[in-house]
Amino acid sequence: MHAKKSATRRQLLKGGGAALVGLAAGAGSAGAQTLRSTTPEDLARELMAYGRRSRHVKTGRITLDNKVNMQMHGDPNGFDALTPLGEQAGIITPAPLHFISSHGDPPPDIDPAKHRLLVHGMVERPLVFTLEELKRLPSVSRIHFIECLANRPRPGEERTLDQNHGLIGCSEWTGVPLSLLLKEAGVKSGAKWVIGESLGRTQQARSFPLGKAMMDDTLVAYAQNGEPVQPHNGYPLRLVIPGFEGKFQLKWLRGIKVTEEPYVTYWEHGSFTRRERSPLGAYWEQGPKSVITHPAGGQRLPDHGYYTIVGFAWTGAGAVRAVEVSTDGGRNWQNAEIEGPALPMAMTRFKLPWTWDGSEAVLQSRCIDERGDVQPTPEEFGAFWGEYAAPHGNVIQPWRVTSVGRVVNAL
Amino acid sequence: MRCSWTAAAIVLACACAAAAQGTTYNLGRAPTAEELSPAGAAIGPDGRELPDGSGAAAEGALLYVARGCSQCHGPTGVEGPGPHLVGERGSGNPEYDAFYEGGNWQGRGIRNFMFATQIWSWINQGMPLNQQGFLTADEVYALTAYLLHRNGIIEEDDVLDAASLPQVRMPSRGAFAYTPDHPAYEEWKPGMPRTRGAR
Repeated sequence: MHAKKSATRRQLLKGGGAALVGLAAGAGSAGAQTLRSTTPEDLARELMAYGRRSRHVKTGRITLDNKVNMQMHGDPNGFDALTPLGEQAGIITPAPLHFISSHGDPPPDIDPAKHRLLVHGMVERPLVFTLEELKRLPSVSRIHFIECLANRPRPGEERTLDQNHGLIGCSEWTGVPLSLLLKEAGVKSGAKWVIGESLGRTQQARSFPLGKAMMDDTLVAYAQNGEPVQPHNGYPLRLVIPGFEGKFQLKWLRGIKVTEEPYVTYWEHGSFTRRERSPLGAYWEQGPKSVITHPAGGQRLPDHGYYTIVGFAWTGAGAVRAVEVSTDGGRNWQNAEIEGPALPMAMTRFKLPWTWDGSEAVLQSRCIDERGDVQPTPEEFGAFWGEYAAPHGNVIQPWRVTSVGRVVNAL
Repeated sequence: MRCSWTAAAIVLACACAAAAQGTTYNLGRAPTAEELSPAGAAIGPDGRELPDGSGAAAEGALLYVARGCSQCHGPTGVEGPGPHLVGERGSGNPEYDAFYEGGNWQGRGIRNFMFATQIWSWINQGMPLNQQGFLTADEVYALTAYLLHRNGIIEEDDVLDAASLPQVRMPSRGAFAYTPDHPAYEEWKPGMPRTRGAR
């Protein structure tokens, strides 16, 4: 019955039913449409259950090549990809475009009915929760960025916005405060640390201070932007530790262990910690940071005239207080306008009107956070950190607009 | 029968006492022994999660080749293409060093692990690449012993097991203010400056 109906419609299309083509998801030629196995109506019905963007929208994550993965993680198939920041409107990163850094672990196929979260270690009552039980507990929803600690601008004219800044995303996370689960289990005196345990194939673990875990903002999240966390970002559960480096915010969470000492696991030692400058030898919070996403490295300005300089600012210390923009290589700075909310530990959008007169210009932004910390220049950053600069970097990113409208990295 | 009834009564009594001390929602249940120690559990500095088994450097040297470690890490652990397993950094191979410099590998050689138990843990959970879970506990102890010996941290005939491995003191143990026994250690607090002297 259904097949017959479709055949009739295909015939109709072939016969020049141009009106039906207009109903399809895009504006392909009628010839191409006749080759599809479904009619425009079939497609429209299929997408009523779960939508899909227009076929004219091609924005995707930028996957890292094997050499970079090998360099970063020692794995030629590293499961890492960058957020296409230049395409993001508003402060929420669509979950399918949120960056991925998995240290070589592909997303495990976890059956939500069988998944359990274990809360154990130095607690009065070790507890096992099903997902259903976690969802019965009082939930909170908060908008926070997650940024990989290795997200830093590096020199090289050809390096694009995404290559220098794509390891960040911002989502509305919904879940249970970790402090609630820890109070249910009853933390024993003497406990100082929490170890997150993951179900990925290398079963990664991370250590973070109990003090942060007991603040109400640290979440065991099951939803991202209103739907279950995507597999690449931790389905069915992930840790969200607002403001802290991404490395702590473990995906595919299976265990929360309370301990007296940090475990300092494989992904926490060596260059992840520092003996210099940091009171704890570790960084915890991300510093104040911002980047202009248009005009930005890798883009091209088609013509002289008006442009809106737009970008994002964020800080691990709390809310962004102000963003300043320079269009003359850092000699003069003006206050940018904050567009939309400036939420604590969330990406914050800024904008500034600008008219390009066709001559070379260097555009850059700097973030000032609620603690009064100012995003440093590369010189300030280098003088402070010395040889320990990499991999953590929050320096000001200058973009050079050349006289022909090419935008290149000016670091 | 009587014994199990008694045990059940005790468990029930304890559960009630615990509940009285603070659960608000009374959701979740007590884990089974199996759930408390899953395969590949995170291993802490005191090694309490380590399984039975043992091994020494001589067996580890054979396994290093037989289990394919040398295919990625090179015959002596510095030839690549995988990360160096001997020395702190610098392989003597400029091309290889250039490849890793700027990546995250710097400073993450065997000598830079803060706790010896973490070397065991990483081999057990992370290796061999794409074949995780393939090594036995004895083999992981032997490979750990081999790498610690090659890096000059233990003697060739030292036998590692759940008791001796946590006793191995790593040269990096005192180098970072990350752990509570370091004199510069400070507990994290909200609003604590992330760096010293930045302003």
